[in-house]
Amino acid sequence: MAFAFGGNLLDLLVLAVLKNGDTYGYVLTQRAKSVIDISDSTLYPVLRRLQKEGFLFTYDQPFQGRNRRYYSITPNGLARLSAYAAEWESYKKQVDFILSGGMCGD
Amino acid sequence: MTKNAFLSALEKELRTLPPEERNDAMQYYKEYFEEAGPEQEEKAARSLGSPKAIAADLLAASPNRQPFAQRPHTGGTVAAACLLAFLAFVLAVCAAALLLTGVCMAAVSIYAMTFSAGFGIILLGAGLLILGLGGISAGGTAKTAGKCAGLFKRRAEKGGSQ
Repeated sequence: MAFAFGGNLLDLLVLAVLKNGDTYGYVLTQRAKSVIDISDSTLYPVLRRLQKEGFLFTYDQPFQGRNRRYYSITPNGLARLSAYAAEWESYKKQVDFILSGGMCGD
Repeated sequence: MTKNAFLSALEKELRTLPPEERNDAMQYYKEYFEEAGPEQEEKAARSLGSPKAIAADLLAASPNRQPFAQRPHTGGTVAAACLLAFLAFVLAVCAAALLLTGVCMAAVSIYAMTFSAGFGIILLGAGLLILGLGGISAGGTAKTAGKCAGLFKRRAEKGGSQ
């Protein structure tokens, strides 16, 4: 892929997924892998950081004798996601403008 | 890599993290393997990547790394270095004394040879012997001083990296 999906874009991805409902690490990662090119261990540091920054919290739910740690978005996380969405819109406009020859002036 | 091999390797690489962070990471990856299922162990381990690389990212992101408990007796290092310094000093004094004596004896022996060849030769021999001992002492001093300096340097590096 020509453009790296890292840093803030991964935050955006995680928050956007969690906005639609709580989920746990394995499912989150498998879903993300179906869309972007990441390794199975890419999301853990992202999840950990977002948790430290207060954008999500975790809770444990036992399942078939083992534990599942669920991630859930917080109100701060929702606000952060809106901010990312707005920044993405503006970024997208810039790139589209350049691609459509907008910089080639009169 | 098996699940247990992966997890032990990861835990080892994370040993400088504060316990809470290390346990959180270990739990995440343990659960990951459990979700993947026992048949998918090897595949999961491969997709996760190298424990070293994972740990490197986590350590880089963590501001709370604990210093290595590598040299528990850093006080001992300083004591040993001081002892070596003292030893080096003693050896240096001996070397200086021996070298000086040897040179003097050799010089006097040349003079002595003018009136008694035998005596002069004996004196020269003794002087050279003492010079040799002085040289050995000097060598020992240098080696001891080098070891001592090495210990101090390592102590300083350990302190600086914390």
